[in-house]
Amino acid sequence: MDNYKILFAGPVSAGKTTAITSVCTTPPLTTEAQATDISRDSKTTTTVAMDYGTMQLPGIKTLHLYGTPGETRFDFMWDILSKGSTGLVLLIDNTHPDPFSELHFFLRAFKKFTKKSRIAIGITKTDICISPRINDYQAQLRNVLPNIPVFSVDARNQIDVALLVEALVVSLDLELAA
Amino acid sequence: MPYLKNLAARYSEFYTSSHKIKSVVMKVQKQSNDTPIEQSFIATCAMPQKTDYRPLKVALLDINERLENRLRYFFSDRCQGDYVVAVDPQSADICLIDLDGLRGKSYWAKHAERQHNCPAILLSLHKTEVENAKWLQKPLQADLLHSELEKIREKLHLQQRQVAPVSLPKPSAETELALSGHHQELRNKIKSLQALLKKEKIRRTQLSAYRQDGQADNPPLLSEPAYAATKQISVGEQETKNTAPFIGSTPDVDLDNETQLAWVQYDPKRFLIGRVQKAVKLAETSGRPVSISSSHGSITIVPMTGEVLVEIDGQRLQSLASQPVNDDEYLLSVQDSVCDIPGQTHRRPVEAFVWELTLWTSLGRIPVNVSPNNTVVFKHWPNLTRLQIFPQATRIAALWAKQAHTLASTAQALEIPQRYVFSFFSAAHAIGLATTEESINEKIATEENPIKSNGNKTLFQKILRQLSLH
Ligand SMILES: Nc1nc2c(ncn2[C@@H]2O[C@H](COP(=O)(O)OP(=O)(O)O)[C@@H](O)[C@H]2O)c(=O)[nH]1
Ligand SMILES: [Mg+2]
Repeated sequence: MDNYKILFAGPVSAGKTTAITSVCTTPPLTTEAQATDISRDSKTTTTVAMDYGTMQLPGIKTLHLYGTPGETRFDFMWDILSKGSTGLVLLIDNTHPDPFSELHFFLRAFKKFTKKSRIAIGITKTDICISPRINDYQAQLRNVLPNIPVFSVDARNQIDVALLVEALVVSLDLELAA
Repeated sequence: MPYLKNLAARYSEFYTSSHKIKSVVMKVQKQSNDTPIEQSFIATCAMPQKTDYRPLKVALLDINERLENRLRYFFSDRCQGDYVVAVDPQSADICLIDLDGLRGKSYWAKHAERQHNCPAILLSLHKTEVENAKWLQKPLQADLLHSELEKIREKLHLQQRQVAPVSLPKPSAETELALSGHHQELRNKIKSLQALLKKEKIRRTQLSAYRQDGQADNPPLLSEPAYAATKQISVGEQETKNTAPFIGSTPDVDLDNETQLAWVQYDPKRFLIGRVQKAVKLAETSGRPVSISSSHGSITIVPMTGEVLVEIDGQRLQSLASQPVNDDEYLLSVQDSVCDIPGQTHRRPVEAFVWELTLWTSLGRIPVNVSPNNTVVFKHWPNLTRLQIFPQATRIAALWAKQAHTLASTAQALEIPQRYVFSFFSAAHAIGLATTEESINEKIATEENPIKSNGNKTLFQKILRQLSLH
């Protein structure tokens, strides 16, 4: 396939907008607005509709990256943006008090991708909070999902994000070729 | 972003040049009895490249471990080995100083005072006015850093990158004797390769993979494509310097053939990695730091933090990793406390250290203690953003995550040289994420008598359990 639509999901402040900005080839389109009370302590603006950017992969592929809004009041956007998407990058904020419940919540909300294991998970802010570790996340996933990429990712870092997207795309390639 | 554009440019460059390479490959094949080409191929395979070209040495001053790892990767990947981390800051061509580090500002003051002829790039989170140096804001932008480095390179007039032809030394009786250790190993390797090449069979299958027209329609992604081997055969220049430290250059073998199998096996116990793994186990059972001391410097495993303190610099370590060890070369001892001298030791997570040391040791080979023809058991994806990555790593992991494969069938399915698969397997095996089916059974058999440790499993113990899986 020449074009992939990749969705970025995860809780508010996990780094979705930042991650897309880090890797996209053209300046991304973002829809930031004042955050609601829940997310205001961590940051003042949040994505309300979506983020969009393209990432050019060497060779023939153009990836269309869509960032979902993190707040659940915008969860209707999740379904809209899921349509036609090939794979999901789920970002989980490691500084959250209960990152595992966040993980399971988002896995349930994006069943469409988890069912076919078209998903890669990035754990962000591990520089601020070192635990849980990646192995702990893998242990959480052991009985839920088959073997999927779970990487520590600093959303501000191009190489981290690009490697996670690459891991997802090579997995998708294998699956789609099968 | 321009970084990705550049990558794309690099690949398109490859795809156009790959046609040229293909034709060279065909020529090589046609002239398969032509000794000079055979010889230079062997030399390219087994000997490090000798070139007039010299990468610029970059001193990293007060740069933290994480950024340093990234820079190493950036130098070897994005910059294609044009820059390397300087072992001795005094001999560096360029200095990179983190002003936000504890000693960054004093390093800069000293540098400004003494090393006028060594250009500096300063990093900090907040804008800083500096004279006679370039300032870059953190987090570092790959493109900006690259263009600054390139500007400095231009200034230093070091652009000649001519590759000197590599010739195979003719051994006399004396030189044969003088070739000790590592060189003897290389020599043996060359001999085996010569035998191998006579048969021609293996190379043909290997080469035919690259001649398939489908290749360009199915390009790999950000990792480098499987072209290292093709380019080595044709010219043996730049590409080897990117991948050779991790992948080596051994051609594909028939794993069912005992003689050929031996060419691609190494015994971890005979190398530094074996000592490190022993130390890691000892640290686990004793719950105390364990030092490996040697004349080159010490390596200390610290179980409390899950880190390794390394006194030996990266380049030295890399060359030590591939040399067989003598019994008394590295001595293990359990310590009461850790002596961490800033500036002399280097902290790294155990997992990243073991992974990288294994790559340097394996060089495209597999450990002797696994059954080479059984299905690979892949526990889960490694945390690749925090490990030294290399071409094809993501594709191999993705394949093992989805399908059962043997080592040989992995290389076939992905149409890549076996050495990529072997290196990835060795590294994943060393950190407890991969093994082959039979070795699991063996493990269960030997685990009947597990070492009892005090009930309270620390995180480090969990990591260690993984590391000592085999
Ligand atoms: N320290 C740190 N900050 C991060 C990391 N990843 C993202 N951030 C920051 O987290 C904040 C929220 O990111 P944003 O992209 O707006 O999150 P979104 O709500 O998921 O779109 C930004 O200030 C990012 O710079 C990380 O790994 N470490
Ligand atoms: Mg956002």
